[in-house]
Amino acid sequence: MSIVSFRDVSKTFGSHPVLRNVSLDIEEGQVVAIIGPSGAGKSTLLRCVNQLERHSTGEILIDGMPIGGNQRNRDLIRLRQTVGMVFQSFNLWPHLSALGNVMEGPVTVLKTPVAVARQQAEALLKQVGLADHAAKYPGQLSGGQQQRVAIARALAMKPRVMLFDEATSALDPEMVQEVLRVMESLAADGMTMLVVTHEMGFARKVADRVVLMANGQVVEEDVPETFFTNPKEERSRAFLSRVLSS
Amino acid sequence: MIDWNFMVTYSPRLLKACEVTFGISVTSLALSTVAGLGIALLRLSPRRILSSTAWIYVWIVRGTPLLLQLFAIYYAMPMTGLRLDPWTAGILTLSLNSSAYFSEIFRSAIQSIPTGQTEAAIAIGMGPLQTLRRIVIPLSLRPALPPYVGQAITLLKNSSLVSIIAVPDLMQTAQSIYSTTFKVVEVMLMTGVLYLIMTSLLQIAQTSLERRLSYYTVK
Repeated sequence: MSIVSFRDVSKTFGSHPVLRNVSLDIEEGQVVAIIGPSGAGKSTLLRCVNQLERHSTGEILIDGMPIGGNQRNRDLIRLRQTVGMVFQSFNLWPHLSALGNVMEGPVTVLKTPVAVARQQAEALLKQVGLADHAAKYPGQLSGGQQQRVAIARALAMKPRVMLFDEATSALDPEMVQEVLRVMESLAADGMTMLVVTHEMGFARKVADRVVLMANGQVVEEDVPETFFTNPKEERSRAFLSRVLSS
Repeated sequence: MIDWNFMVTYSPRLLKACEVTFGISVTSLALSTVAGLGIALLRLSPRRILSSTAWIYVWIVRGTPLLLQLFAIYYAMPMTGLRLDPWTAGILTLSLNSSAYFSEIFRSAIQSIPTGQTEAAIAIGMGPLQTLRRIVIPLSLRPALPPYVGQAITLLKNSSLVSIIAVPDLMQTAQSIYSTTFKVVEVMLMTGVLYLIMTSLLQIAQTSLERRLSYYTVK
């Protein structure tokens, strides 16, 4: 059963098309890596899943439920709670501690009792290796640590699917690995993940499927082994030769 | 020479009048803060009708003299059948006036929050009011504080205008003392110092709040 389905999804900013008839299904437990040159529409596609961007035409289904369009705000908000998102620039709330950031969703949105939420948050911070940093504020944490808090924050809502929008692009090279390791262990635990990334090594090793996008379209999708060793499309070969040689 | 004995004799009366000035100012401050936030949110609304209504309000209130607004509410409103006592008229005028300035302060503070912060709140599943209460307002406090206190100080000083409609505030009391004793220098000196003390309290509050609100910023 698909957790996220794109059916013929298009999106334009003004007269500029960013997504053109994208159709894609993400099955439960799958890790799908979306790669491609910048400006290909990868982030926009991801942001349409929880409607941070509204798609212009087509349909996006989450667990079979359509999201967006003329949907009532209440239903849209409920659907968003089932989708976790991790941003390139972390976007932690600077006025809350690491623990506070992770507790915020459950307490404010799900009305989880504070004591319960605190326990869950502590367990999640431990899971991402930050048990000792719970009381620190984002300004006191490194980029890699902030991003791991952001992952814990998204997980606290017990999402059905996690979106990663270039989660390691803003990080110093030595911090990339600590975040990728957390993502990898999430994948191993069976989390459904939609990952926009420039980390080809990660895509090859962790993803169940790789999707190459260019000019707002899906150019090719395949299992990583085939995709990286024997891409079918000329566009894919050109992209791969450029990123793998650098 | 300055008559020090005179100053000692009259200081209790002026101090008493400070209570009136302070009371009027604090009440107006509270009302205009709430109203200012409301107007700022209307101004930021995607609905054209709401944002333009707020824009017109700010345009008119900021663009006309406070004294004229006071007269309009105290002298002209009775013609529409609504008669206000001087206190109410004074507090209402000061509140309406300041709310326009506060709304602009809050609007710019809210707009200074990086979109990523609110996007994170939306992505986690917060509704608009939750996002406002838990993320937007707490994050706007710090950037809003200095101009907010500046406007609060202006409000306190502007409250001296209510003396014209016979509210026994500090300014009105000072005037009534020197018009019977002709000790203008002494009275103005004392009055000036008292205003300065009151505005200094706000200044001190700003400094201590700034320190408390900066605990999470990068050190």
